[in-house]
Amino acid sequence: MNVLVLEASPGEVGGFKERMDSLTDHLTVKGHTILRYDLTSLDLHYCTGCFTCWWKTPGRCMYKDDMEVLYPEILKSDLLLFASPLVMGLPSYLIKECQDRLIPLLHPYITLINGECHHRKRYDRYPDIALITRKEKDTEKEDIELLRHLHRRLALNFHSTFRGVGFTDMTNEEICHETCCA
Amino acid sequence: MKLVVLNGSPRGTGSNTKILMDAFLEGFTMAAGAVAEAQQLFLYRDSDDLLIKSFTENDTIILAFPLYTDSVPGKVKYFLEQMKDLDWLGKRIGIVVQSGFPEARHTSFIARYLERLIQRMGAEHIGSVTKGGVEGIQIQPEKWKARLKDCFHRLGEGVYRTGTFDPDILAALRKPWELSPALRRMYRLMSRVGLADFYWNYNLKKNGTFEQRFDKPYEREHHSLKSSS
Repeated sequence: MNVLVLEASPGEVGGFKERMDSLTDHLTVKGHTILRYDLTSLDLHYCTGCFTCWWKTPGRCMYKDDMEVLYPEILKSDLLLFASPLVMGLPSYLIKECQDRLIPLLHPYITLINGECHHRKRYDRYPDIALITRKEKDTEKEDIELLRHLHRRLALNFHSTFRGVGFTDMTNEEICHETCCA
Repeated sequence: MKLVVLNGSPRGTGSNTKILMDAFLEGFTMAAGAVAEAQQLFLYRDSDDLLIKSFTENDTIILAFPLYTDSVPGKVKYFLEQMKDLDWLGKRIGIVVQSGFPEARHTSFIARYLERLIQRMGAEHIGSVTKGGVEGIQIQPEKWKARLKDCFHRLGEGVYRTGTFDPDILAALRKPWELSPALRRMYRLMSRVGLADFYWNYNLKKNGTFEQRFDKPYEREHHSLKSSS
């Protein structure tokens, strides 16, 4: 399986990157192909909601930055693994800015999924989505449930499947189990 | 009462969010007269320093933003991260989430997250607007737009008078929460005859890109990183 890891732990001192080294090594040993990007060192503009990608240059974002590298890689991957510690209950803003930039991969037209409006596919297939994260001191069960909900909705919008959340305090094997990376 | 609207739309001063929040502030200011202060700041324009100062100095904070991938736009998350170590105790915080999808349900997940965060940080939640169908105001008749603005005007008045969002106005703004079976049938019919996507087709044709609308530019491309990593 091709796994694209998009990672962000800005200002990190808690060893998140090292934890991800261990996990990606584990996945490689299991036979998966890993491509890993650290969003903190990429040139990524945020989405400005200009809709250039929907009606001026269909499918293409107006920003010519490192997302141009990521878009084809996302389409080629089987699993898009976002990796970032929780801050205020959600992964880093860098992860969110990157997720906002995914809309050129969709078509503006609306289709009904389970009776609900969503933008239709532009491409034939999209990778599954999973999240690796680290809890905060006061993270409770309810926070994790909300986190799952929001990622399920992200996946639903991208005609994808949310595989689950792995936490840094789990073993590599447990994370694989939680995110279905057998 | 000192109130600030923090506008989290990347479109900033040209945003649909601003249209709604201008009406809100108008209602608030008219009710308050000279005894309360209110202003609107823009997360995608104003400096971190100014935003931190506004968070600290105001007792009532309205965080308003468009729905991005059923969540907050990236910069709204950035803002929340910047507010992490500030004192939230005693702050009264209202949420306004607006989306282009006709049903309001899409906005409910991030609203729940923010309500939980407000509670976690020890502040008081004064209500959440969860509103669908807002991108459509770009092409709606003035009369419809006026009705929506009137809702926000009254919401602003209510915040001055009671300190909270009026539950009846919130209930009205939430409609439709989901598409009813009848609305779904209408949507499918409109899709078949090409009416459902009128807004997109209108803009695609205006830009002369209608024939390219199904392009898949990123399928076979390869680029190298612009950054040094």
